[in-house]
Amino acid sequence: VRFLERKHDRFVFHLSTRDRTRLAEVLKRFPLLPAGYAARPQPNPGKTTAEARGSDHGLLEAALTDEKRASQKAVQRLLKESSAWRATGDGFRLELTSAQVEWLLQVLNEVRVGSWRLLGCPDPERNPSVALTETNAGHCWAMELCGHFECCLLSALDASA
Amino acid sequence: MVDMAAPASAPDVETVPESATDEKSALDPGYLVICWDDPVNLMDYVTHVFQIVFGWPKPKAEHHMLQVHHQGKSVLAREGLERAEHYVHQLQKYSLHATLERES
Repeated sequence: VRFLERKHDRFVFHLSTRDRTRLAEVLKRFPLLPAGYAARPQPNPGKTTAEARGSDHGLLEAALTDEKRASQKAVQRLLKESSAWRATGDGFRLELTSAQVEWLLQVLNEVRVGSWRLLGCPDPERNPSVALTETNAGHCWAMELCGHFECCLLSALDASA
Repeated sequence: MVDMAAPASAPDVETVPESATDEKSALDPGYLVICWDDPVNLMDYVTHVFQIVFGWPKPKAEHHMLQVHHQGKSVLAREGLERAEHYVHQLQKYSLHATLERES
């Protein structure tokens, strides 16, 4: 993925055919995180935290679930509709608004964190090796690929700041 | 045990309407927005999220990102309940591990 330019509020990227296929493959995995994941408690519970406020916590979780549902539809639109994509000789031009870039970052990171969770939440500093199997290799691939796409989007935002 | 069918002559106690109490607690600054470390979120990504959610300049966002990375957590804001909940919600939308804590 290559950032080409920023035209007002639109970011223009170049993707090879393989890039586009890979992006579609990881986006199709969305959503991966269970509904209650975002609301998991703090590592060292003690003081009053959000989860103690049961009703508000439920509302927050419901709001996140609704937003994910809307994002899932937006992912399908991005993959199916051609308005954002334009074929070039050696791949595709993808044009995204700044709001779509933010949204895509959220979606990619959801898949990244979800894949990491499915890998058993490995911590490279404590236990660097993850035994790859036929089952979990796809999660590892998706996690790394999402990280790569996130870096491309972040570089584009940084370059155009 | 309290008898719910109490006599009509209730003690003369000044009561505060529930909505007023809720409003007070919602406006009372004393809720901490905390972001916790995890080994999956990219450092540049976390910095970016802090910039977007809090409108911080990059150096401040990086400072808090590094605090999360090295100390395991960072207190990002101290706000009233509603505002603090809003921030936690925004951070969770980006799949960061954020919680709300009542300041002691």
